Amino acid sequence: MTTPVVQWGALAPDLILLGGAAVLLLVAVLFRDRTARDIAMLVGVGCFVGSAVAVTVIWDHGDGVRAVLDGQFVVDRFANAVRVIVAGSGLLTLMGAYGWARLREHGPEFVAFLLVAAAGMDLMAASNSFVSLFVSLETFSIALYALCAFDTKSSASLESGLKYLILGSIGSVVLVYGAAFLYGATGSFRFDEIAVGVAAEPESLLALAGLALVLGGLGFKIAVVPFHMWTPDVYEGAPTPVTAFMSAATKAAAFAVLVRVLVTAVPAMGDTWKPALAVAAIVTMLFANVVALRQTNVKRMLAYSSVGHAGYLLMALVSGQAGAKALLFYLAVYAATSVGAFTVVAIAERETGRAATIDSLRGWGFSRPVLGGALAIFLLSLAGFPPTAGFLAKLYLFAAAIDAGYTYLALVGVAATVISLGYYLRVGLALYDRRHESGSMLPSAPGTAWAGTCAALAAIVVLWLGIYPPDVLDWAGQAAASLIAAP
Amino acid sequence: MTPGLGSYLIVSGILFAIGLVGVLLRRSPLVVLLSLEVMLNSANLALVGFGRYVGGQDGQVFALVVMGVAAAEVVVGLGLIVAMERRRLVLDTDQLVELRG
Repeated sequence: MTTPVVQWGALAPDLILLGGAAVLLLVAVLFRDRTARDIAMLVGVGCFVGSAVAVTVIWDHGDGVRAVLDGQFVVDRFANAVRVIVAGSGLLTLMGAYGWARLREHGPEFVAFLLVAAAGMDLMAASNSFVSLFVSLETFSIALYALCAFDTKSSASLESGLKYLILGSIGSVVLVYGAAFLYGATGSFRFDEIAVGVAAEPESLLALAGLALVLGGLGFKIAVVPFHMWTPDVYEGAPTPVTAFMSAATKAAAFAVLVRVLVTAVPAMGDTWKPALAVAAIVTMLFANVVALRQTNVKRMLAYSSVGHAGYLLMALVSGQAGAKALLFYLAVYAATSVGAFTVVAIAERETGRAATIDSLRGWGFSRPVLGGALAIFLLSLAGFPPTAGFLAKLYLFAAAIDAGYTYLALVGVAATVISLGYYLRVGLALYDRRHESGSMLPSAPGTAWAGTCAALAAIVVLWLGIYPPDVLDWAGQAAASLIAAP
Repeated sequence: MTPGLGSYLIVSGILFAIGLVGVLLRRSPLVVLLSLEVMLNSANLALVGFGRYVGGQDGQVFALVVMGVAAAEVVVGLGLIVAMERRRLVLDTDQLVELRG
């Protein structure tokens, strides 16, 4: 029995986040109120930036593929790309959340939970066995349950936390059950060893049941129809900064690990899971976008929109390496768009003191030019209009699907996009409704300056990726290649 | 006669079904959490059963990990229930309809 070697360098981006969380728990004891919040913000921003910098340092190590902690994790460029997306979402979330009243009482705790959640997501994207996958999944899930219920004075927030906990746990149990079956079929929890066992016996009923359960369990996390029912309730009830982070970062991490499972553990069963995922993609795209048409609450609408985007992303899973590249690009674009959109919604909520609906946003774009303009850009990007990045992201996704022989999926995707115009444009038009242009400005909510900076940054990212994408595409291509090349 | 893999899986499947029915039908959040534990332990039983069948220690180790994680999850769940109790919310999942499901 040998002691496993710890590769500190490869784990540094995650350890920085966890270290920051530990420090913040001390800050919560030593400082009070606004001082504590400002220290927490500094530490949080420092950790997210540090994590992203650490990723750029280790990006080129050993062709990007490294088995870490006795093969429990693989820190390749794919995992690193997801780490950057998670860190970026965390950074934007922190800036957007700055003025939230609740942070004046419990700032350090909020940032600490956020850092732990981010570390869990990073580790999940790098996991190479069902044991590490489960532990990192629960690490970020439990942090998110607490974050959803963070506003303990609001019954909607508590309710959303409890609902997420109950439904999320069912997902986790299903995942463990699936892992147990795959273990029974192949004798291992490691993805590379499962691949060997599955390739030897691809028709095994045990492995098939295991795969179905694993897909179901992860389906809860990525919110694919029919496992999406928690999403609208949780997104609506959770404090809006939490929703922003959850929608962007959870999606990135969960899709990343799903790709890794499918590509490295069960490629031999592709004939089974590809049609199943194609059906799930069609159902998810159509159902979510049609239901979103009926929503008047903007957060709820964005929640269904997020389910719809999960449907588009499922398309990438069946499209091979080009699909993985398109997936990473899409996730990066979606993260910036989603965090930005929810941040603007949070400010609108704070100003009016009630939930943001299409009616409450009427004419709001005139009194808040930066925030309103940014929200308009995000909505156009979600709907897939050029020159925003959402257009290119969808284009690459559909092109990858067509190249892989799934033309019908791309067609359904286009149809779903057309349906989605209905609700994105409705909000956009309400935002600039001349009839409700009010001369009097509402007093701006605290933290608007920071949230405005966050929204402007996110909008710049969305436009930059939409107009000049080669750098990020190249980066996504390298990351996708390292995943496929993994042993 | 020692019970074989099939028997373990059948018991585990029955526990899973009991837990799932409990989660879906019971109203008290406490009992729902309890049912979730039953489901998790059914997965543990399957893990240990498969561990015996395959012949390594991985299954047992994973089961221990799952127990640890389940404990952490219940802590957050109970914390939420206490917070709801403080706010004097009705502890009945059927009446948690502020967010229409």
